Amino acid sequence: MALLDVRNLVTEFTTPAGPRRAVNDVSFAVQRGEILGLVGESGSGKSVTALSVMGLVDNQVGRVTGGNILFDNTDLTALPAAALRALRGKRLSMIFQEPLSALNPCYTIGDQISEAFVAHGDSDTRKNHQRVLELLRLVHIPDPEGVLRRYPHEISGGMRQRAMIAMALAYTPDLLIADEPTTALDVTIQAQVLNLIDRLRRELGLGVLLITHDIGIVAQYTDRVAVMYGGRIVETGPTAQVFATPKHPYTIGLLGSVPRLRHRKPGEKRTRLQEIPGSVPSIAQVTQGCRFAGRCSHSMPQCEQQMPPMRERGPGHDAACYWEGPA
Amino acid sequence: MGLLTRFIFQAVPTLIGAVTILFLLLRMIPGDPAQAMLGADATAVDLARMRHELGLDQPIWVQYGLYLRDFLTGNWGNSIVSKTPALDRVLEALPDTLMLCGMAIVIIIGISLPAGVLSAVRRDSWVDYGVSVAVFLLMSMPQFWLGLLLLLVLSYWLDWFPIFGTGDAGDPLSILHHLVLPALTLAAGFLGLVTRLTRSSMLEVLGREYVRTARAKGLREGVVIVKHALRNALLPVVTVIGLTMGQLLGGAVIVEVVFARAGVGTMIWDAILQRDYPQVQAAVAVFAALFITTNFLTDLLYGLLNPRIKI
Repeated sequence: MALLDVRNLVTEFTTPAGPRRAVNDVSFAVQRGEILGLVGESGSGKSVTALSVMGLVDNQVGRVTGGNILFDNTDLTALPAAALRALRGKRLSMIFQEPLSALNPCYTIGDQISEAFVAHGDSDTRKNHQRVLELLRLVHIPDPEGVLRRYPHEISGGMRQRAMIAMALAYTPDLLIADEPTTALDVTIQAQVLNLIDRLRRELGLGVLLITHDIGIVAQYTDRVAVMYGGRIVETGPTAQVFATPKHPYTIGLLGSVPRLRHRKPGEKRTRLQEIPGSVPSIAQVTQGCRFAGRCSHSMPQCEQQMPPMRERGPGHDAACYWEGPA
Repeated sequence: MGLLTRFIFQAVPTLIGAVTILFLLLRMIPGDPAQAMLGADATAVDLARMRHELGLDQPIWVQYGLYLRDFLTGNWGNSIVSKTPALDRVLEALPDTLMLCGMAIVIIIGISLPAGVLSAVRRDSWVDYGVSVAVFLLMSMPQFWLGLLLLLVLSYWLDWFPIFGTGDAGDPLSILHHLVLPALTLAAGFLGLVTRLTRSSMLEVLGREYVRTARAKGLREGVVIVKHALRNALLPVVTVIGLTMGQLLGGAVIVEVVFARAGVGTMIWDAILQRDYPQVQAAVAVFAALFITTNFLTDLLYGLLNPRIKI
C-alpha cells in the first residue's frame, strides 16, 4: 500500500474567463522510504500539485475539484479542515523553495520551529527547547544554541533551508514534500541539503516528493520520476529507465536540453545544446488534445483531437503519447 | 551616537524651524494686537503706547531675534490677555487635550485594526463591502460637520451624550461621558485611513510565503492571522498611527471648539482671535515638540517591532 496515492487529481484556478485546470487528471504514488521526483518547466503544475496534497491551495485563487488524495488510506480531499490541519506539520510536511521568504522575518528560528510543537498540543517550553536543539543538530546546524535565537535574516541561505527542514521534521513526518528546496541556494550548498534529505529518507524512512526543474538532481537523488507538462503527468517510471529510454517527446526534449561536460575528440565539432521550441501554453488556453502537440516534432493529426492516454512502455514505465518512439 | 543625542540633534532644528514659520505666519495675519486688546475706539496714543510695551514697534527681524533668544532660553513670555506666563497656561490646559487625543487613538486602534483585519481576511464578502462603504463615508466627511451631526443626533435628539464641556473634575465617569463624542469626531477621519491601510497591508502579508509556511506547520487559522500575518502587517500601520498622533493635535483645535471643551486647542483658537502672539507661540511650540516626540517614539517602536531594523 502506497503511503501517498494521488488519483485523478484536478485543481482548478479561478480566472476571469472561468475555471481553468492547473492540475489536470494527475495520478502518482509515493512509497515509504522512496523519493519520487516531480519534474517540469515553470508553470507545469508541479507546485500546485504539492499544495493540493497539503490542502494549501489559496481558496481565493483556486481549489481541488476532482480526484482523491489517499494518504495512508485516508482521503485528504474528504477530510474536514481541522483534521487536515492536525496532519499538517505532523505526518505531512512541506519545505519551500525560498527559505528567506518562507520564514517569518519577525520571529526567531527557535520560535518558528517550536511553534510546530505548540500547534500540535505540546506546549512544554523547556522540553520544546530541547527538541528544537535536537532537530537543529539532526540537520547539522553548527552552534544550534546560537541559531535558535537568530532571526532568519541573520543566518545564511543554507542555514535557513536547514532550519526550514528542521521545522518540517519536527514530528518525523511520514511524507515530506520538498518544493524546489535548493533552487535558491549555491551549488555546493545544494548538494549538502539534498544529501541531508536523502540521509533522512534512509534513516527515518520518509516518503519524499521532490519537486524540481533540475534534471541532474532527479537523476542523482530520485528512485522514480514523474514528468509534468501543462498540468498533466506525461511520463512516469523508474528514474534510470525513463532517463535511459525516454518515450515522450517532451521528456526527450527535456533531457536533450541539459548541458553535458565531456571531452571532445580532436576535430569534432561543437554541438549546440538542444532546445524545445516555443513555450509552455498558458492554462487559459483550453485544448482537447495533447498540450505539447504545438511544440512537438512528432505530432500527428490525432494529437490535436484527443489527449493520448497513459500507456505502459516498460515495467512500471508509462507515457502519454501516440508516438511509438524512434524506430 | 546615543539615542538621546540623536533625538536632540533631530528635535532642536525641527522645533526652531517650526516656531520660525509660526512667527512669520502670525505676523501675516491682518489685524493689530494692540487694536484687538484696546477695542475699536482706542486713541492713537494709547495704541502706540501699547505697541511699544509689546515690542511691536520694532522692525520684524529684531522682533524675531528677540523672540528666538527668549525661546531658546526658556523665557516664553506672558500672555498679552491674561498677563500670566504663556507656557504655564499651556501646560495647565494640556492634560485635557492629551486625554482627548489619547481617547481618539484608543478608538482608532480599537475599531480600525479589527475592521481592517476582518475585511482583509473576508475579502470580497459583505463584511468587506460594508467596511469599505463606512470607510468611504468617514473619510469624506469634514471633521466639524461630523462633529455637529453627532451632536445633533446623539446629544440633541437622543440625549445620550452631553452637548459640551469637559465633565466634572474628579468624576472619571462624567469625564469619559463627555469625552466620547469629541474623541469619536476626532478619530473619524483617521478611522477610515487606518482601516484601509490595515486592510491592504494585511492582504499583502496574507499572500506571503511565510503565511503559507505557518499553515503548513498545522497552525490554527487564528494563530496564522494574528501571529504571522498581523504582526508583519502592523509595521506600516504603526508608522501611520504615530504620524496620526501629530495630526490629531491639529484636529483637536477644531473639535475642542465645536464641543466647547477646555484644552490647548480652544486656547489657541481664542489666542488667535485676540492676536495674543506669545500665547499662540507657546501653545504651538508645545504642539510641535509633542509632534516631534511622538514621531521619534514611533521610530523607536517600529525598530522594536521589526527585527530587521537596528535602532
